[in-house]
Order: sequence, then C-alpha cells, then structure tokens
Amino acid sequence: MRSIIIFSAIVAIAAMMGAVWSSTRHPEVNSQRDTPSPWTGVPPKKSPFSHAKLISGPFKTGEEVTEACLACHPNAAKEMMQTEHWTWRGNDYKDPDTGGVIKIGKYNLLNNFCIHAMPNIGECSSCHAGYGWEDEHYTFDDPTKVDCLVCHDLSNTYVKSEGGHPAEGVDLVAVAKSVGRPGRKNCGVCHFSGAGGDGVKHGDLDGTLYYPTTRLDVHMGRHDFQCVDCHKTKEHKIPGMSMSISVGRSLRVTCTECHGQHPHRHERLDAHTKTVACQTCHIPRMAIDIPTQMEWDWSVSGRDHWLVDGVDVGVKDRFVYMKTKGSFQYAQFIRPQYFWWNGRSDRYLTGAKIDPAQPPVQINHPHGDVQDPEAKIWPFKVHVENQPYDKKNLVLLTPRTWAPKGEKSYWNDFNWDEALAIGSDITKVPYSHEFDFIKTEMYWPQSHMVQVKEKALQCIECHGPAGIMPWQQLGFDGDPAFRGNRRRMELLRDPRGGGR
Amino acid sequence: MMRSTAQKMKVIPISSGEPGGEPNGLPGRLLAHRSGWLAVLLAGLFWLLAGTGMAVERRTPLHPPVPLLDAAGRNVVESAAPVSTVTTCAACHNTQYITDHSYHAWVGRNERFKTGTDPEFRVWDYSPGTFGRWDPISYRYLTPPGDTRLDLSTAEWIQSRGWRHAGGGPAVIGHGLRPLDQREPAAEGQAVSEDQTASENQTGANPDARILDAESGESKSWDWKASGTVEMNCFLCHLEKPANEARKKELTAGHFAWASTATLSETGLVEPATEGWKYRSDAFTDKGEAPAALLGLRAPTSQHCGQCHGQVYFGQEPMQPELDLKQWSTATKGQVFSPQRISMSGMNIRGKEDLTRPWDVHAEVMLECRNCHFSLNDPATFNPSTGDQPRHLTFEPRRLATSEFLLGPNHQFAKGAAAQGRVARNLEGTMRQCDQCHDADAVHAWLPYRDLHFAQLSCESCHVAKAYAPALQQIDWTLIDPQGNPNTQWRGIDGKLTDPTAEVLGFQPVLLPHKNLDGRERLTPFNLVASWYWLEGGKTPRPVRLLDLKGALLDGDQYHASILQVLDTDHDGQVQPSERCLDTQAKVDAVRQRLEAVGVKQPHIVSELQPYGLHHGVGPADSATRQCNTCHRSESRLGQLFLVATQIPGGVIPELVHGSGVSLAGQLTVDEDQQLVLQPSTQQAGLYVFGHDHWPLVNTLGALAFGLTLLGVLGHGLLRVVAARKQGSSNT
Amino acid sequence: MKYVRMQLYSLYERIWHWVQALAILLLILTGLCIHDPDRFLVFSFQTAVTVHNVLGFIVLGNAIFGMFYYLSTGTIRQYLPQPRGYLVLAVRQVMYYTGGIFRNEPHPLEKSAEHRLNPLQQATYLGILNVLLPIQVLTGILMWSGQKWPEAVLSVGGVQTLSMIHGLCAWLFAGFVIAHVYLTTTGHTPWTNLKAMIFGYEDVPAKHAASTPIETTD
Repeated sequence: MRSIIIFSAIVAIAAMMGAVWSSTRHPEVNSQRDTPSPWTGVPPKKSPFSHAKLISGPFKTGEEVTEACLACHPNAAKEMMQTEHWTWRGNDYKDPDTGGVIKIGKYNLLNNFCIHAMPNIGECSSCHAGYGWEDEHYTFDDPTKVDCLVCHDLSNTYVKSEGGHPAEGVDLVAVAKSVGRPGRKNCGVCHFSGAGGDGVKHGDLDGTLYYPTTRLDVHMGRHDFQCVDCHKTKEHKIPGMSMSISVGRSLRVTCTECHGQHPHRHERLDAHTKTVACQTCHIPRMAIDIPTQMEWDWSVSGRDHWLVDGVDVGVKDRFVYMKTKGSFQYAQFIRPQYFWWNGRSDRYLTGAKIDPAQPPVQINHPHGDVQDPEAKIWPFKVHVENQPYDKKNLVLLTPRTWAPKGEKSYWNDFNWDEALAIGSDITKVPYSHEFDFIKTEMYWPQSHMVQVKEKALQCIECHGPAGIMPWQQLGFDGDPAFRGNRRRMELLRDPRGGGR
Repeated sequence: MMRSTAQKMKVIPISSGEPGGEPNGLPGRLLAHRSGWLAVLLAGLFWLLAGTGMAVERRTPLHPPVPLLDAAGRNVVESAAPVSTVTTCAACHNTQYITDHSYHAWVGRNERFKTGTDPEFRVWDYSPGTFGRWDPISYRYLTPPGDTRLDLSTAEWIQSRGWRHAGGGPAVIGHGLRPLDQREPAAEGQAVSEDQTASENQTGANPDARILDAESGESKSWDWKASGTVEMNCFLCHLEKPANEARKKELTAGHFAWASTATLSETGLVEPATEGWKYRSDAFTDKGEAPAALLGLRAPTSQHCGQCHGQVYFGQEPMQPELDLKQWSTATKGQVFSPQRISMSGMNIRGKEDLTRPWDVHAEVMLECRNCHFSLNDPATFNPSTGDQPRHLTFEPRRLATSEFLLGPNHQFAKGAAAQGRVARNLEGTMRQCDQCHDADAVHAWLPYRDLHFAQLSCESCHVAKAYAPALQQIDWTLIDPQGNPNTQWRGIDGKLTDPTAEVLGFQPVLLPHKNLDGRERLTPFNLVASWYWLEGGKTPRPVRLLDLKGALLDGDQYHASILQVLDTDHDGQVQPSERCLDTQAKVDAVRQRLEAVGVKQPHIVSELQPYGLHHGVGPADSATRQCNTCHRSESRLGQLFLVATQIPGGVIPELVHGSGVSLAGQLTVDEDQQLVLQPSTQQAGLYVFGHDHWPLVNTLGALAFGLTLLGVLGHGLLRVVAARKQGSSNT
Repeated sequence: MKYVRMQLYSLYERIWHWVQALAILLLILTGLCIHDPDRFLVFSFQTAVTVHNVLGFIVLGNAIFGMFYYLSTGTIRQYLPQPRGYLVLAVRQVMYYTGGIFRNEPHPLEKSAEHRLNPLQQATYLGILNVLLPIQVLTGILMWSGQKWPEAVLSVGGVQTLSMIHGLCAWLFAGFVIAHVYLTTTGHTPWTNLKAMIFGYEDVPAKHAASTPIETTD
C-alpha cells in the first residue's frame, strides 16, 4: 500500500515536472529545422597521404608516370577512360532532326568562343586529361596516355603543352611525388581560363578563386572548399554539368544537396525557392574581380591596326582587339541576365542548319518558361559572338585557327577561306567557300562566386519600381510581389478557379 | 535545332554597382583594363540600353493628359498665369473636399483654441499643429491675432516654413476666414477678428496683413494681391518628379502664387522667366494639355513624403543624407526610410561592415508610407473603426467604388498616436499598426511570458533597438551666436554634423512609458530633445523674439560689448565655443539685463524636454533585442543612462512637455562632468523587472532576519561547544 | 545504557522531506539568480526562470501529496499542539535551548513515534507549512500566471507587490533552513536527527521508550 502511494507520488511529480517544463519550453529555439546541417553533405577532410617515398623515377615522359601510378591503382585509368574528361563526349542528345541519340561533347560540338576544338586539337588538347592528342586520328584506348598528373599534381609546377604533353622543363619526379586529392588549381588550370584567358568564358569562374576570400565566394573563400568538395567524385566520374556542352540534368550539382529546399528560416524567402534558383539571389553579380568576355567579333580580325576614337590601340590587347581573334567587349562586376531554366537546353550540333534571317543563332538556349513548373529563374551570362557561317549551306563553320608553324591556319596566314576549308573538312561540315559572319548567343548559367546572405539580393532589388528583374519578359503580368506569383496567375487565368 | 528568337526580347542588365565595402567594385565597371575610354563608351551604351529596358517596364501613367488651368479657369498656355491646382484638378476631383479633409493643409489651423486654455500645450500655443503650436527647434513664434507685438507673420511663416507645408489651409486664409488675397485693406482688422477675438487691441500686430522687416525690425504691410496665396499643392505629392527646391525658392521669394507652377519645373512643361514662370507650349499637346507622360501623375511614394518628413532613399548608390534640421524626422529621431543595407551607406558609420541589415525593413519589402498611412476612404485599405461594427460581422463590405474614391479622395491620412503628432487626434490609431499586419503571437513562441512582455513593451522597444543616424540632442536659444543661430548639439555622431568624415555612432533611444491608444502605458523608444530659451514674463508669456534676442545680444555681426565681456572668461577677446553657454549666474544676469534693456519684460530661462518616439527604422527580426539579460539584470537596458544635455544653460533643468502621453519615469541628474543625464527607473514606470528591480527594504529586512538567525545559530553552537568542553574537563 | 531503535519517520515522510528540502534549496539558488543575475549567475537567466517555475510546482505538488498523506494517515496530529499544557511545554523547551542544553540536561520532550515534535517545532512547522509555504507558492504562481492572466496579477497589486512578498518570504525560508539545519544537531549526538531523517529510526534510551521498539541494542 505504502509503496503504491510512493510510486504514484513519484509518477505524479514526474508528470507535473514534464508538463511545466514543456509549457515553458521555447519551441522555436529548440525545435530542429527540417533541414539538417549543410555540413553533412561535405566530405570529411582526410589527412593527405604522401606519395613522396613511393615514387622514385626517373621519368622521361608522362606515360611513364602513368605506368607507375597504375602499378598501385590498376583501375584508375580504366575508370578515367569512361569519363568526359577523357572522351570529350559523354552526353546523350536526341537529335531533333534525325531522332537518333548521339553522344555529344567538346569532341563534336562547337561553341561561340574559339568555335571548334577538333581542327585545332593540337592546341586545344593541352586541356585534355591525356597525352598525345595531336590530330583527328587519336585513339582513346591506351591507358598509359591518361594524364594523372594534371588533376593530382599538388606541387603547382605541372604544365601541359601542345598535344597535352607535359611542358618542357617540368620535373616529373617532383610532380609525381606530390600527388594527392585535387585542389582548385588542378581544376582551375583548364576551367578558369577557357577560351584563351583568365575568366574569359564562364563569368563565375576565374583565377581569383585560387586564393578566394569570402567576398568572392562563401564556400571557397570562407570555408576553403575545393572543387571536389561539391563535385563529389566517384571512380573518377566528376558530377557537374556546364550548359555549354551538357543538355541534361542528371549529374548536376545542386545547392539543395546540402542546404535543402527550405534553408532560410524565413517563410517568405523559402517560398521563393519554388520559382527562383538559389543562384539568382546569391550570385547578384558575376565576374567580381576579373572581367569576363561579353562579346567577340571574329569578322574584324586580321587587321594590323585597330582604332578606337581615332587612336591606334594596337592589335594585342586581349580585352580590346587582337589581330588573331578580332574585337572584344569585357565586363566586370555586372548583373547577370535572368531567364527561366528547367535544367535542360537546346544544343546546336555541328553541321546543323541555321536561319540567317533570325539572328542571333542560339547555340544552347535554356528550356523553360513561366508555365513550366520545373523551371526556375536563373542568372545567366549571355555571350555574343560574330562567327563565320556558310552562306550557301547555312551552317556554322569551324575554322582551323591554330596549327604548328609552317602549316596552314588562320593564325599563321590570316586567310579565312583556307582556314575554313581545312577546318570544315576535319569536322565534316559542308563548305561552299561562300562565308559570312553571323551573331550567335551562348548561355552560361552562374553557379559559383556565391555570396553570403548579407550580400545576396534583397527584396527591393528585384521587386518594386527599381527592380532589376524583367518581369514581363519573363512572362509575368508584372511584378509578382504586387500582381501575384505563378500560382496566383493561374488562378486568375482559370475561370473555374482551379489551380494546376 | 534552331530556336526562333524573334519573340525573345533581350534586356541588358542595369549595370550600376554595389560599391561600399567593395574595394574593387567600382559601380558596374565595364572593363577594359588598359583602356578606360572603352569602359566609358560601353557604360554609356549599357546605360542607354538599360534606359530603354526600364522604359519597357515602367507603366504608362494611368492619369490622362490634362489642361493646366489658372485660378480663373483659363488654360495657362494662353493666359500665362500661374497654375492653380485647385482649379485644374477640380475638373475631375473634388478639390474642395480634398482641401477640407487634409490636416497636411490645415496643420492645426482648424483646431484652434485660445492661448493658455489647453493644459496639454504651452500657454502661448493656440493650435495643435505647426500653425499655432510653437516649437523650440524652429523657435520663432507665429504671432496670433490680438498680440501687440509681431514676431512671425502669416506671410513670413509661408516664406520660411511653407516648404514643409502642402499648401492650402492657413496659406490661403491665414488666421481669418476669407482668402488673404481677397481682403480689402480697409477691412483688414475685421477680417482678423471675424473668428478670433482681437478686439482687446485694435492696434495689434495684425499677423495676416503685416510682416516683420528683418533689417529694421519694423512691421510693414504685406501685399497679398501681389504675392498671391499658396494653394494646396497637388503636384508636390502626385507628380513623378516634383521640384520641391524650385517651389521652395518661390515661397522664400514671396511669389506664393507661382509655387505650384515651380513644382512643375522638372517636367519640362515650364521654364523660369524674368517674372515667374513661362510655359513651353511645344511641350503641351495640340489641345493645350500637359501630356500624361510628362506629368506622370501617380499615387505618392515614400520619396514624396520624404520631401518634408526626412531622409527617404531608394537609390542604388551609397546613401549620403543631408543631415540637418530640414530632414525633420531624421533630425529629431535619427529616422531613415531606406531599403539600403546600412553597410552600403555612404556615411561613416561605426562598425558598419557588420550592419548588413537595411535601414528599414519595411522599405526593403517594398512598403510605401501610404501602405500604412493610407487615405481614410481608400476602398482598398478602408478600415472601419472598430466598435461600430455589429458583433456578427467581421468585415465591412460596403465601401466606396474606386471611381468614387478617385473623385473625392480623403486626404486625411491614417495616423498613429505619436508623442509629438498632435493634429487631428480624432484620427489617432487609424493607421495600420504593427499588429494589424503581424501576428506577434505566432512568431514569439520563444519568448517566455509573452503576454506580459506585450502588455508592457511596445513592439518598437525591441524592434527599434537603435537609431543608426544622428539626431538632435539639445538646442540652446538662450545665447545665439553672432549669426543668430542657436547652439545645437547632436547625439550619435563623433564630431561636427557637417563633417562627412565624422564617425556616426547612432544612439540607443531611452525607453519611457508612453500611453497607447488602448490606454495602457508601454515602454517605447524615444529621443529626447532638450531646449532652453528665454521667456518673456507677464500676463501673456511669449518666447523672446529672435529679433529682440539679436538686438540685445548682438552688435552688428558680433556680441554686444557687455555680453562679450562676461562670455570671454579667458580674456582673449574671442568667444570660444566652450565659452558660448550661459553656464554662470554672471552670464545669465548680463544677458537678462540686456534683454530688459531692449524692452523684454521679466525675461527668464525656460527649458523643456520633447520626446520624439522612434516608430520607424525597424530592422529584420534577427536585429531585434532578444537576449533576456539585455533587460533582466542590474545593468539593464531599461535603466541605461541617457545623456540629455552636455550643457545646462542657466542651470535650468528641463521639464517634459505636457500632453505627449509620455511619462518621464526616471531621475534627471547632473553628473560629475556637469552633463544632464536621465536615469530611467522601471519602478517609476510601474514595472518590476526580475533581475533588475529590487525592494531594498525587503532585502535589508530579509538579510537582517537571515543574518540574525545565522548569528544566533553560530552563537548557540559555540556556547554548546564551550559548555561541552567545560563539562568534559570537569567530568575528568 | 540500553537503547531502543524506534521508527520515527516512514519512508514516504523521508522522501517527502528530502524532495522538499532539495526543491527549496534549488528554489533559493535559482531565485537568487533571477533576483540578481549579475551576482549569482549560476544558470542563464532563462534556465533559472524555467527551473524555478518547475521547482515551484514540484513543491506545490509535494505539499499537496504531503497534506493528503498526513491527513489520511493521521500523522497530522504530530503537528497539532495539545492545547492543554502547550505553553508550559513550550516554555520548558525554550528553557532547555537557552540553558539546559549547555548543562547536558535531558530533552524536555520524550520523543516517540507518536510524539516526535516539540512545541516549538510544532509552532514553526505550522507556520512554515500553513502560512509561509502557501504564501510563497501562491505569489509564485500568480507571478508565473502573469503570462496567461495578467489581469489576475494586476488585481493583487501587480508584480511589484507580489515580488515584495515573495522576496521577503524567500529570506524567511533561507533563515528557516539555517536554523532548521542547526537544530538537527541538538539531538543525542549531533548526527542523531539527521540519521533519523535519512534512515527513519532513532536509538532512544530504553527507559524512555514509550512506544514499541523495533529492536533493542546495547
């Protein structure tokens, strides 16, 4: 009897304690948000393993180094040879003309910078993760041709040259001893300086990211992320897709992998994530510290003088005019342009017909519009180029611009007709010897140079009378803050009042 | 493969920059590293394109083109006379109704009372608004009809203060009933006395008809027929780009009738002429109408309100506010209505790198002043007064149609119940207040004792925890400088206000109980502005006229010899800034004698404290006060010393003005640096704040009881030990 | 001398006592922390408030349970002074504390299981349990309820008055704790009473044993 009294007393006290405690608890402070910490998505930092004692050398060629690597990592080359970094063609693309599915990549696509790699492969292959790609007869089946060093060198002394071979003077033994997990330098050497210079291509990637600060990029600056922390690599397959050559979205790296769909602790902001890409607010400007190329006009190349306001400014200024390439326009610290994008895009295939009556020719126009539930508003850099096309066959042409000394190429003798003939022959593009130049556009979605919340766009930068968002061109009736968002617009459209 | 691009319009982004805190980031730097000219060229190109891009976005004004009419109803293009807004707009809008229903026009003129009859005001005040309520900041006293001596007349009021007045009301009829420019000179005296008993003194200084000559100090007559009157200026708040500066110039010059026309000077419709303004007939349509696009008539934006009310900034460039008394709400409260992050400001604000919050979060989320201070019969915002509604109804659907509203829009704007806003008190609480948009309960679940906190604290107490711009601290009219200016001190800035490099510190307002509309006193953040001035005694006390002050203290552009003698304590022949204060009895006496010498009767120094409530400048939620121990500790925010004044002229301790609804809960004391500080007291505010407040008597008594017990116990124990020892030894 | 082991406190009484003791000590500690967080900051303010509130309800619950126990078992009689001879007994107790105790005189009270409290204790506990504790709990609950029923708080003079009473009573409680702890040392040995409250029994000289001993020891 007594024990029952005591037991019930203890239970009652405990229950009361619980009740009072929970009534004074502070739900907002204590409750877990549905999004776990973003750090769970970041690979743990492993202590580096030194290869210095394992490697002795001497090495005469890159291939010898690769053989040494493969002795311990027998699968590495096989894995590597499955990836786009080796094949330069990895994406399936359904050709809308033929219906057939083809593999596309740098191997067979042209862009609106240096146009096409294949006619100039001896030069372009300095960014191929392999050795010896000097002409169109390169075979992709020799494991010893895989270039381990360009991605794994941590000595910062490895340089590639023509044909993708190690440059002269590189101490291959020292480089091989240094290998480890790839850092920003390994990726940046190609991805930061595409199209012939630092920051020319992307707008959100340039050499400032080698030593970034928070004001450049919160991940790489404040937290010292390496590229592979987000582009989490498995079996040498590196996820992430640039829209310049990728049309799908299967391997895209997204912010939400780590941050979730509702990262803001702010209902209004979280409501935006259905419509607005993270990048739109968190990359308010591109090319923060180094200018990026906005326009390139090939048609004026080949001149010995370039006048601006009557002043000869020379022909070797990569920001203004080069005899080899033509004239440029660069911009720095600028607003991106905003378009709907659902992750997919069109792709201009080499040899496809164009309609010269409707310039600019679209190389990779993003898919999506205000009606597309999967599309979000994304920030883009739009690059404009004036590039050669065949007036008769109505195709974009692929000039041979670079060639070893003594061979025929545009940069060697500034003869467009010859350069186009040779180049088009290599890429199997029909060429009628009647060419002209046409404006083309290429879209570059912005995903790097991410800003902290304090620097992200504020409401009033997009909405309100001075907002930068082109609402009507995006398909809205007007500023959705006042006119309603996509869902409300649908309600208004549907006389029955039903939603999607 | 190809995508048709014809339907796709391309917008080049606006390339203006995000400079402050961006060492490399010159605004939208379009780059050519070695070729600056190209950058300029491109920037220009982009600007042009951006301009066209904006033009696509900008809606065409809803308002149709209108012929501008003069007061007689003739098209001004033909008559060349000043535009009359009241006549022009009356074509469609009931301008009579509008001017009748606008405290912005009447500024207290229609709520007049006899001086000395309302205990909530100073004895010389006779209206709750700027037309009749004296203010120590603007100082000069608008002489009421019947006074014997003229200070500020109606005409001079318009000249000096009219630029912060919407026009209409007293700027048309002055103190009388009939328009000032339609009175016959002979009937002058009667016109005044029509509704104001001025019969005591027929020779009184008629403030409607006369003006004080600044040079001679003599009163002379004002020709209203020549100057015209100032109609309520619709353009000022409804044009896309009103030209307040041009308007101000006309007002100051006394060309009152041209004020509305001058407001059009940014539209391209008018240009200055030798006499007034002339109309550019080429800018008008063939029918003689002002094109809609040029007028850009629209609902007022926050910038429109900011023309008179203080710093409002929506630009992209770093904000560089003009800090002076013209920015009224900024000067009195440190208020800045801007979406810009404080860190982006062009001001030299201490620790601004970390102040990434916007100046005002409501500006940031695209609210305009009018969203809360709306027109009272606007059907979109119509708020039926609570209490009128039957209990079974939650919404009042009967309201004006938009068209009816547009015909007769009420220009009484919804207002709160600020300590200083005394006009139209019948409208207090009509505005949209915090709790009408925000569900505080929903987002304060973390706050223990929520209802208790809400019952004792205004939202602003925690959400306007600090003002980040400087504000007025004290103004001393007891000793003007040789230019006739008062000694003015500002708080929240380390250095001179005019020095752009002076570090801006901002200030923490003092939290004082303020009686809310529900009758409860809640702690509310205030800036206190202390002022000292000479009051003329006698039956009708008046602040000593600036004219008399100058006459007594100054001799030309320097101090009168007798004044200079007492002020110059170090005898260097100069009056140093540190000497320019009536801080000794000798100085006070010297000034008093001089005042008496110029005919001021019984001059004595009076000091008052005006509370200015901080209701704007709300930051995002995470900038609000949130830590318990901000208040719940002995060094509490609630008991934080507030510096009231650094100098105390004449040793006179200021008193809180009457009628503000604020209680000065605390102790005004002079600290060891001879500064006047306010030690707020939560107990005087009727609060008991755990961790901060104590009952000293209870603690003393309790501690005494506790101590005595302890002492008794110890003594008793000791005795027992001693006794036990003794017994132990005797036993052995 | 022969001693008799005598059951003085039941298990429940002991649990009740120690729960109450621990709660009151912690209440004083957290109370100090709330009263003057700068000087007595053991917990954060928020924690102190929460713990204080919870403890307050524990004390209240414990008091109700105790009341029920004392009433239902009749132990309540221990606390009720016999009207006849109470004053004499009380005076005798005072005389003992002020004189006899130093001369090692025997306790005026012959402790037994039915009669274990001396008149001074009876008076004190009646005061503590029927006046001080209810006041403290009531003012505490009122201040706590300010959250939900601010009007109720205002109707009794607001937090100011409540806090004044609550604070004064807290001091008295603290004083009581000191005196109480000290007086436990006035048993046969300084530890006798403490042991009794822990183990429940006291060894009483056999000749005094008024009730049935549970066992005898030498």
